[in-house]
Amino acid sequence: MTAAAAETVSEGSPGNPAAPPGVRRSSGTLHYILRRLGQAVVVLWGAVTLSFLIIHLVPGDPVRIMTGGGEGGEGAALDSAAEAQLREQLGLDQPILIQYFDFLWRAATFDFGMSYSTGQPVSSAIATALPVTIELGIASIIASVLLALLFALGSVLLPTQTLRSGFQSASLLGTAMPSFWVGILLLQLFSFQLGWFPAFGSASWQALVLPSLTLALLTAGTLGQILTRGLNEALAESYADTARAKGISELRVVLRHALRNASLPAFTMVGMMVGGILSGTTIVETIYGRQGIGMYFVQAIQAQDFPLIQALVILSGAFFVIVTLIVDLAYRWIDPRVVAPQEHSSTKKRSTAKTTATKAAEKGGTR
Amino acid sequence: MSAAAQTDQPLLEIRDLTVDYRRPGGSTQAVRGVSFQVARGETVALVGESGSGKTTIGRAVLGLHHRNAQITGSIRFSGTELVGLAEAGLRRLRGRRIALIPQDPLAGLNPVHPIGEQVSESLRTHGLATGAEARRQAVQILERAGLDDAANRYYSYPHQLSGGQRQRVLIGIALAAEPDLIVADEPTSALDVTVQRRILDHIEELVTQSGTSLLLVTHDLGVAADRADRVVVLQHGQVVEQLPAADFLNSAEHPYSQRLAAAAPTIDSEPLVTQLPQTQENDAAQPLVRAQGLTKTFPVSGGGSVTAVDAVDLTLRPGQSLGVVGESGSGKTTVARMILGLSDPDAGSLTLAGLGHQDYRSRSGRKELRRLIRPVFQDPYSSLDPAHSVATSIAEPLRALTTLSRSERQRRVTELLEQVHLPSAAAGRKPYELSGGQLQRVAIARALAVRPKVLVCDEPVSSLDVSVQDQILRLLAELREAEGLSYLFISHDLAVVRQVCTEVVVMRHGQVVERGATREVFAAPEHEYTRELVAAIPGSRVRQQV
Repeated sequence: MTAAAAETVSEGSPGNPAAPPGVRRSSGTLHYILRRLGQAVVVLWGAVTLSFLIIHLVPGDPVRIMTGGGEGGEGAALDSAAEAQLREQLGLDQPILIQYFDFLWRAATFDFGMSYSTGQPVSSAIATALPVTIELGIASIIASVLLALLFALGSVLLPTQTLRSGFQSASLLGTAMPSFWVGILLLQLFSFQLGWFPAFGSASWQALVLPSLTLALLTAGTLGQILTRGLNEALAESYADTARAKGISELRVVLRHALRNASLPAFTMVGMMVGGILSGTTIVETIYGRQGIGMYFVQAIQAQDFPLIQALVILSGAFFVIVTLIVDLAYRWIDPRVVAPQEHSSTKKRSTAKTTATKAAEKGGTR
Repeated sequence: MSAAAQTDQPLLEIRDLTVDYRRPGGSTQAVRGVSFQVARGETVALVGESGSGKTTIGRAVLGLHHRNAQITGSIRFSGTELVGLAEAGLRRLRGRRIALIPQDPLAGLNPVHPIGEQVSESLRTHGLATGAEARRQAVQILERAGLDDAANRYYSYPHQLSGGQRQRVLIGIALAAEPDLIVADEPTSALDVTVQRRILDHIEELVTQSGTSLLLVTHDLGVAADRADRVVVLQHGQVVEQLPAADFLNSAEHPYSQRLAAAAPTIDSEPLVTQLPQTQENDAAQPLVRAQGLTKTFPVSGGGSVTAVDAVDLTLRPGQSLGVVGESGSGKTTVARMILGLSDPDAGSLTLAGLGHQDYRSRSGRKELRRLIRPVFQDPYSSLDPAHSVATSIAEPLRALTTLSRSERQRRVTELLEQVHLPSAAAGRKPYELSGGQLQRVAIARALAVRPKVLVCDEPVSSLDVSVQDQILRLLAELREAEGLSYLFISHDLAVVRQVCTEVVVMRHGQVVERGATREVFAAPEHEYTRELVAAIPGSRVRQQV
């Protein structure tokens, strides 16, 4: 046995003593993706079920609420024949289980019925609003990531401690200001005073600048803080010293050695930001008058337009599930140690269990 | 390592070096007026305990000290003054002429880059090679550093290699640009003793071949004595003595060096425990721990399983102190966990303090087991709740396992503090106010609180400085006699086991390869692996020469 081979056996690779590295990678990945897809389907099913229940959990008769009446009262405005027709149209006269399976089927085929307030099919309303929001979302996330990088790099690379902490405090400002206020401020300055960008609409790229900046300022502060913290931690690691001892510059230590390690927690945050696009744009879309999903949400709720609300809830859920899946898969690309996250989490669970048991033993607990 | 080459000028000359760490509200002087030299081709060891400033000096030579550190004095390297040298000037030297082998091989490599790229970066940084040529040279360097199959491992990530292999990559990074001086900061302290020996042999060979000077920073006096030409002993940031390594363990003059040398357990230090006389009474006594065919397997992700403990037989009789020795992955900790009742064996029988497996699995049996067999863990910093006072931590088992009243518990805590030689004022302190050695005393007091019969000590001194380690080992020996305790002592450090264990069991790959009375096993090891372990104990080389 050669020296190095003996070492492999006696030391093992961490967390997984006997397995040769790299062997299970491909099959592990496939297994992982399938498992995650399975989970995604379960979460989606949950979202669909919840949105189905909305209509039945709202106190009172859904048809009456939809038709604008309260309990009895003005609801009488709609005659009973029309009410029955609507009831039938919505399938509310069927047994609840039938309604549920019918709803599941329609959700699976993207058929959410007619919007009550606009009279259009819900799916076509979404089809026009979705690109508007996605466009805003992508622009705001790019802006947010760039700003956060600027904050973080400044916070670790500036030459004096005073400058670094000053820079870091400045990044908090964005987070501290509410977005409706920032939005109005930006409108005042850049649209009304300077006239650089249009105040309303979603037609041109110029119209995208102010709303995405409003959204980005809100998240860039937090993202920058997370990134700064990650960078500081990475720069204090032993491998950063190994890199410095090679004679490379601090900028290169940061960019090549620390940034990728530091980006993992920030990446989780970006994932959450992306997932939140559909539901998080409400305020900004309202301020800037963009006909996006957020605007629709508000309108649907105001009009008590159940089919539209249901579709939007399912859409947000689906979007979140997909984004989370992509983020988790991308993790393995950023950090090669994440060979198969299901192992990772199970080892973690095991070690947590160990710690708890160990603590209990020390304290004399009997579990 | 090699005899100092005779040249007019030392390669590294440090004079009156002072390092201050400035903090808001004051400053701490980590290094105070240190002077020493390293000749070309010479290996100098900086030894001392935590806080002695040895690591700070190593950093200062590389210009890698912390931003808050204020350096005065002089560090001349090959005629160039490094103190006050601009960053760009330092960068030209770093990696090219002065290189670093860092402390922890597990943390020293960037986890997200392939190892080969990390080696070739040393070459590319200094314009020594680029592209495919840098790759080719990096493979050669890794081969020279002793990494097997280097060509195929070029694109491996650090987590795919063992600790020893990673340390070889770090050595490769340091050697890549053929520097004149290597600062090795505890290069092997995280590695198993046999791996440590191979790595140190290899470093020694490489620096001798190339005539490189080595500044070896270490807390391990055995390593220093074995591997260096000269030893510089540091205490509280000052040099207390400089002497040839061969004299260090035997004829140091300064009391502190003598104390250090005496505290370092080596292969022929006097044991602290004596074996119980073999009387019929002792042999007939019911064993406190009796394991037969003990087996534990863990599933490996992706199918299959690994047998961590493989048909192990163990007996611990009253009054015995049984050492379980082995390297990482030998299964010794898994054995300890089963004996503590923290994990269940997959096969075999285990009788603990007279309780069979079924008995101690029950709620009342578990309580009985927790009272009779108590653990002491490696790291007192993490095994004590930082939010609890010392008294609260010590009293915790009393609350859980006894019906003592509040005042009785307080009395017992005072008694226990006295037993472990801590002042009674320590009762109200929080862990952060105590040193590592004091915390380990608290952990021992907590283990003793309910008057157990057995202490299972899992590497109880391996995170402590030698002099503190010595004190804790003496305390354990003293308590064993006073309380009639039995120990199951898990350790990778054979010299430590030799001091406090009457019997020893040597484990490898989950199996027991040798067992017997400590004295005999160490004097005449039968199994090849035990011989290898004994031979790898640092400090043995110097002894052989004397």
